[in-house]
Amino acid sequence: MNTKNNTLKKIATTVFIGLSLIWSIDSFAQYDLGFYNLRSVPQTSISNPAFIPDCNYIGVPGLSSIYGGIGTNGARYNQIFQSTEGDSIGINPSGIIDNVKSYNNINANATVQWLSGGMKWKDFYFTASISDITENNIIYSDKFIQLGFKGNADKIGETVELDPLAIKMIHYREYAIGAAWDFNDKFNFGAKAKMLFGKSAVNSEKMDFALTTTEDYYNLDVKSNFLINTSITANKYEDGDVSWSEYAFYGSNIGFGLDLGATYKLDDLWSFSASVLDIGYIQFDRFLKTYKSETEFTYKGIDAMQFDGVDDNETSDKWESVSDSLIDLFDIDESAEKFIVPLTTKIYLGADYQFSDIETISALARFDIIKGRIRPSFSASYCRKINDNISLMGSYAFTNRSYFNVGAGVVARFDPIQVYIATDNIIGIIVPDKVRYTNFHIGVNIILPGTNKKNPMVDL
Amino acid sequence: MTNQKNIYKFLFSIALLGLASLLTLSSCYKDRLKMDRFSGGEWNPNLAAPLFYGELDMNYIIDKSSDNWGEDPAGLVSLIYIGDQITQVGDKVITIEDQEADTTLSFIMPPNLNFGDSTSQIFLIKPTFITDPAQKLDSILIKSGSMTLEITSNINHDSYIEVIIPDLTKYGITFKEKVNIPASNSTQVNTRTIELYDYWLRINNGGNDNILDEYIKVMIKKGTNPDSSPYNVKVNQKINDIEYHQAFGYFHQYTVNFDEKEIAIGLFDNETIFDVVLEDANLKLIFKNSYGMPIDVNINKFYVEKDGLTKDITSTQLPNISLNYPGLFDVGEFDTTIVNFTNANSNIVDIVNFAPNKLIFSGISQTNPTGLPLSNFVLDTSAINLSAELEIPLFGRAVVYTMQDTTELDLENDYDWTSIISMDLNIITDNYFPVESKLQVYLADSNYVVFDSLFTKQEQIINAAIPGPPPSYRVTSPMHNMATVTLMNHNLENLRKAENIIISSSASTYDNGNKIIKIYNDYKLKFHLSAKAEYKTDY
Repeated sequence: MNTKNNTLKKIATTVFIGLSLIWSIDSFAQYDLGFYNLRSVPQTSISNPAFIPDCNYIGVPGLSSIYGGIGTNGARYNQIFQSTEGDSIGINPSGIIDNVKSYNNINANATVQWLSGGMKWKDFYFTASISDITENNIIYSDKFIQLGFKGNADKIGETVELDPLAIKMIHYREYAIGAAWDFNDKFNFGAKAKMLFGKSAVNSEKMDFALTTTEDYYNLDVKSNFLINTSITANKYEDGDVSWSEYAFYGSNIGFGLDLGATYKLDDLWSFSASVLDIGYIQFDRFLKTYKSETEFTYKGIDAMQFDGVDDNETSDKWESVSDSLIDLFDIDESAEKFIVPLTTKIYLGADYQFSDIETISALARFDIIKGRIRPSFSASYCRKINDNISLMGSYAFTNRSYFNVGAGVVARFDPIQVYIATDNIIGIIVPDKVRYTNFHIGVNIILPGTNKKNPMVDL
Repeated sequence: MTNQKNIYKFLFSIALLGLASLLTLSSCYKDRLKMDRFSGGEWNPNLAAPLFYGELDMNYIIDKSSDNWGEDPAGLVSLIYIGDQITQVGDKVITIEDQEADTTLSFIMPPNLNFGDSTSQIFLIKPTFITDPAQKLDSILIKSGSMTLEITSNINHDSYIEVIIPDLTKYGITFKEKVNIPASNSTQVNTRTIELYDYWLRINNGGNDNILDEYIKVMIKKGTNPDSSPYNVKVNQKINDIEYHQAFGYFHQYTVNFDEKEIAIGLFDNETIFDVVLEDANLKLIFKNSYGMPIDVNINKFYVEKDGLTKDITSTQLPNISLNYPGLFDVGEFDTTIVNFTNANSNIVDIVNFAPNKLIFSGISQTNPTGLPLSNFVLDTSAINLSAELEIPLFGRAVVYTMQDTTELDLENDYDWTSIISMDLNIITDNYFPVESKLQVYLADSNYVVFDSLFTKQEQIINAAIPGPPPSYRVTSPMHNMATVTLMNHNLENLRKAENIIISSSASTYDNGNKIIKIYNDYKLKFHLSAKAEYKTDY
């Protein structure tokens, strides 16, 4: 008992120190932190292909894994909007301005696994799945928000760099085949190869803007350097509407992805895991439109002399040409070019401490690599097997500059059915307007006969 | 089996619970997030932006001006006021009287002339071409007119009379007119009229003034009638309604009037209170004369006027001016005579500092003023063009104390400035002109009753550039100025309501008009209008 208490103290101390360290840095999570540790759910192999479930299974088509999540490390919904007259809501500029920092993002992601299954063969565990995945990320700066809402009058004589600015919105279908190898008592290795078919994308390769407002003259010196690739049905409107089947089952826009994972069992108490997901890209080749601008110009106002001696009709025409010329200053070049969107690579690093047969404490760090930046998120979780059928998980996540994300998960297995549900932020499910981050992950699997459920928590 | 049923019941319950939870959450989210009740928001930025810019240079001012402008080789700009006057054309300088001459010729047919043979005789006659006794007509190119030949003959054989005038040619061909007279036992009268346009008529043949040489050929072919010689042929010639293209000779004294001409001088035309001292001016009378004869012009009216007051232009070159004229080798050309009235030979600087609104001049000219006979020529297009050019170099100093202009305004429906809470308007100028200006804009209703002004006082908008040392007084670097005017929302609203704006301005040359300046053609005024505004709007 004493040994157990000491161990708990050590863990508590370690967790406290660890949380104190990560508290001081911004973290920007994507999704599925607590779910990583619900190892009895076969879909955890999505997060680490080295995980070997304790059963063979077939996912219920369309229901085996449904994930949805939203997050922002800027203003929350209830900070972005405020109540107005007549029980309506309106945008709250000060709420937004006060809650953004130099680097902000908004993300919304959803994944539906249409088909999935897995089975063990000798020392290998094979998985296969078909999923639709949507990732939406918008990155913006506080200067961008301040400029939009507060204007440039307090930035006279200064250069306002609007970066970081980026957008990445992508929808693709994933056909994945994976294998986990029970290498020895210590190590498991896993890999998953994925063939991808892009459906649509909006992706900025670069979005650099700088605005300088000169003294007195208030001339606007603009530097614009952006390249935005799009592959969306709207680009095809000139040739007619795009049917749903044409959109969903198009066989091009091919990409490839690779997931790699490993686990290491130090002893009976400690084990560690690591994975790198989504190494790959998709090349888009349909419904293309690329917007490119690389220019510097100074807007000095409107040349008053052009209105000299013109009549009303000509004046109207002149004003139109003035507004056109303003857009022309950006010298936006439109073209249709194939483009590549890299997948958002994720890195998971996990540590588990199994301090009883039915209890595990885990710590997880996740790093998303998007637009050249690493976005970390952290969580700690506690899993407990209630009985042979029910397992529970509680988690704490630190993400999106949000420090109080308490999550939970439950797995119910009554052979041949396994149902699971998990979230990283219970409060976010109830009051999504008050949180910066919430998600859910639910699914139903059919457990195939003859598989063991005695040790569902960790089998590394 | 019972256990299995319980499991399914449990799972079913979970599914139902999950579904119910989702529906409840969905309903709750909709209600909580109020996304269907989005009412927009308020945008309240402080914006700074350039509004307008432009550049006014002398070329622009000159292009927009209704006045004439000039510049000297150094680029010093001048205002030029020009008035043209053209005398009557020269088709009435001489009047050619109708001419008539009767000549009777007697002709004897040779007695041994056989039947069918012919005989002829040529007679030389010298009729006088009657002109003004004081004039001498050498030649004319006839523009219109006619000659009528009436031939009375008693010849009883077939015959013809041919009138040949060597001094009357058309395109180099001598005038010949042949009149056939058939055999008759009675006296016959034959008449022929010939149009004389484009004929050259040379009268001064061999030095005998106004005398024409004519040959009349009489030819008879003997027929069956008896010889009734001597035969008489009476030739009556009439030349009527002669007008000329050109005339050469001596035309004595003829008067050509220059009617009174008025030149508006716009420089001092504004309803302004000003004080101006100009340092230089130049007035030119430019005569272009295409009369081929000496002409003297007497300028009988030459003065400027301002508000009913007049001031005469005096000069040592007045009142008589002798004009140059083209020589015989320059027929149809103009010869120019320029009479310059400068500060050295006239009171022209005093004249322009009188700030006149108009210049008036008229004159009378007389040809061959000495009365001595000289070779003259005149064309029906001959004329004297008289141009008066008053050139006022922009060289001096001036103070315009008040200059006011009223413009109708209708912004009521065009603009909604309620969203602008306040605005700081920067009026920035970089001025090469050694001229400064202040401005005030008054807002007035339809009855021109002022109810607001844009500025709290007359605002210094333009600072004068500093002129260099004499004699060029050239500005080498511009003068920068920024005037900031704060306009509150009520000012802008009043601007919108205004039906008239009264622009009141004052201006002066450098140093409040105390220093002499020159305006050069490369001077310009750059202006920028920029604004910093607090903007508030709902969306």
